[in-house]
Amino acid sequence: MPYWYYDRKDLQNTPSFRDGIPNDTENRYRKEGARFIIDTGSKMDLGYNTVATGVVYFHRFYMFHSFRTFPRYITACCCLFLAGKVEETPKKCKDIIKVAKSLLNEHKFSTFGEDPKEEVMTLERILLQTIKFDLQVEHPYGYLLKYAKCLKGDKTKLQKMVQMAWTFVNDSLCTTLCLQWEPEVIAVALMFLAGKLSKFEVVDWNGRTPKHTAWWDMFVEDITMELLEDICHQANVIADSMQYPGNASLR
Amino acid sequence: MEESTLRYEKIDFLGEGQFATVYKARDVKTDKIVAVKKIKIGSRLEAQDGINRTALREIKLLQELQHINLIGLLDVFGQKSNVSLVFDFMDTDLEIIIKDNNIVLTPANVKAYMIMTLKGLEYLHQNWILHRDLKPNNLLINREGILKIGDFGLAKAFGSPTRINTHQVVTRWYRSPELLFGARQYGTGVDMWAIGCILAELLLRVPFLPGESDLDQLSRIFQVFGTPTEETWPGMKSLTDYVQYKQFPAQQLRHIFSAASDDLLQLMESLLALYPPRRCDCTQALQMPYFSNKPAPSVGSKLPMPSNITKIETEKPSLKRKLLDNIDGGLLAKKLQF
Repeated sequence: MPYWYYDRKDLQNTPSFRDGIPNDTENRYRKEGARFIIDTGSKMDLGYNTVATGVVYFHRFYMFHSFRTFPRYITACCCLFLAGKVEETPKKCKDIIKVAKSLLNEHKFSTFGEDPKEEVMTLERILLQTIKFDLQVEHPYGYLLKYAKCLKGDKTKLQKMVQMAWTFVNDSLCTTLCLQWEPEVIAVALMFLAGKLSKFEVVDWNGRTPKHTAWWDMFVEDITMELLEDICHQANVIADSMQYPGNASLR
Repeated sequence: MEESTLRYEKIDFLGEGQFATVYKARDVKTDKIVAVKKIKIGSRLEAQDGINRTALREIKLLQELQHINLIGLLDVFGQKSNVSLVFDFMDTDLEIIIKDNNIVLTPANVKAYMIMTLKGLEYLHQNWILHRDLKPNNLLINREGILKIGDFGLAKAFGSPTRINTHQVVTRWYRSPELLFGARQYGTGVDMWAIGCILAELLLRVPFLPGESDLDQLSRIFQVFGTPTEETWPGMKSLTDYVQYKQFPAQQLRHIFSAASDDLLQLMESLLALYPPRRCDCTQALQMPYFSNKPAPSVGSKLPMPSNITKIETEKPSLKRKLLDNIDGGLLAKKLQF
C-alpha cells in the first residue's frame, strides 16, 4: 500500500514548487480547489464523505503533479467524479461539469477546454494512476463521533463541542493536514480545539484507566501537546481566514 | 506506469468474462506467476462514464482485505483506456475438482475445504461484506492446496434493483430461499446458504439443487427441507415475490447423504435452515463438533489436484532451462499489452 503522509520538507518541495510556483500560491490553489469540491458537492447533494474523499484525492494528486500542468478546477471536478463512484454516490460527469460551469467564471471554466467531459475522462485515468488506485480513504468525521460517544459530561455542551469540531474538520479539508496526519489524529486535535473554544473540559470518559492522562490516550498513543497545538494552528489559520457561508451546508 | 506493463509477461490466456479478460503472466520483478485481469472499459456501454464502478468496487474491497483464504490483489495498473488487476495465480477451483472423476474426495478433504472457505468468509463478514456469489467456481485453489475465495466483482451488483440482469449472471443453484422470494433486506445468511449447497455438492459430486428456473429452484429446496409455514418462517408471506407452494414434507438429510457423518449433517442442517435467522454464521459453524471431531482436515499438500496440474508442476521450467533461454536469446517473451 502506498504511504500518503509527508513531512514539512516534502510539502514545501512539491512538483508545483519545482515548477516555479511559490508555496503560498500553491496553498491558495489547494484551498480554492478543495473549496470548489466542497461547493460543487454540496450543490449536488453529495454527502460529506464523498466530498472529503474527493478533496483527499485532490491533495494527493498535487504531490505528484504541478498546478501549472493540471489546472485546479478541472482536477477538482475529476476528483469529485471519481469519489462519487467510489463512495457509491455516483454523479454523471456531464452533471458535475454543468454545476462547475455555474460556479466558475468564464475565464476559469475555459481551463476545461473544448470538450470538458472528454478532458475529465482522460484526467480520471491519470488520477487513478497517480493515487495508485488506493481508493478507500478514511476521514476524521467517523472518529469524532466515536470519541464523542465515550466522553462524559453535559449533553448540550458535548453536542456543541462535536458540532464545532465537525466544522473544523470541514475547514481542515482546505489544508494539507490530510497529507500530514492520520484521520484519528486530526480528529483528536480538532476535538481538543473545539473543547477549548467551547469551554467544555472533558474530565471523565467511559473506559478510563489510571494510565490515561487525557481522553485521547484511549484512542491514539503518544500524542504530544505540541503536536495537538500545531494541528490546531494549521486548521485555525484557515478557519480564521475564511468565514464562508458554504460551511454550514456541509453537514 | 510503463514499468507495470513491462513488469508482467503474458504466458497464457486464461479466460474471458463479461467484464474482463484474464491472463496468466509472470511478474518479472519477483518471478512469481500471477493472474492479470484486464477490465474492459473500452466497450461503448461502459465507457459512458469513465471507469466502471464494478471494477472500482472490486479494487476498493480487495485492497482493504487481507486473508489467506481470500484472493490477494497484488497490484493495479492502468494504461490508456484499460485498468488491470493483478491477482495471486490460482491453479484450479473447486468446481473443476468436484467434476473431476479421477479425484477422490475423502471426508478429511471435504473438511479442509469447508474450514478454509468458512475462515475466508468469516473474515469477509467481520468486515461487513457479503460475497453474494459463492459457488464452487469462485473457490479458487492453488497447488499448495490453499483455497481462496475469489471474484468480488459481482458482489454488490447482485443486490441491486436491476434484478433482470443479475438473475442471468449469478448461478441460481446457490441462492437462498429468501433471495428467491425477492427479499430486499438480507444478511450473511445468503452466503451461509451457498456454503451449505457447496458442502452438499462436495459429497454428491453434482449440484445439490440444480433448479431450472427460480420457481423450480424453490420447489427443489422445499422438496428436501419441507415447505415452510408462517410458523417456521415468520414474515415469509410478506416477501415481495412470495408465492404459495405445495406442502412438501421435509426429508431426512441422512437419507440423501447416506455416507455423511452425523456431525457433518448437523453442520449442513444449520447452514441450510430455511428461516434465515436460524442459519448459523461462520463463527458458529467453525465451532461445531464437525470441525473438532475426527478425521482431522487434510493438510494442503495432501489435497487432490486435477491431473494436468501435477503435470505442469513436474515440467516446471528448471533453473537450467532458464539459463539456456538466456544464452541463445531464448524464446522472446510475449509482452502483454494492457
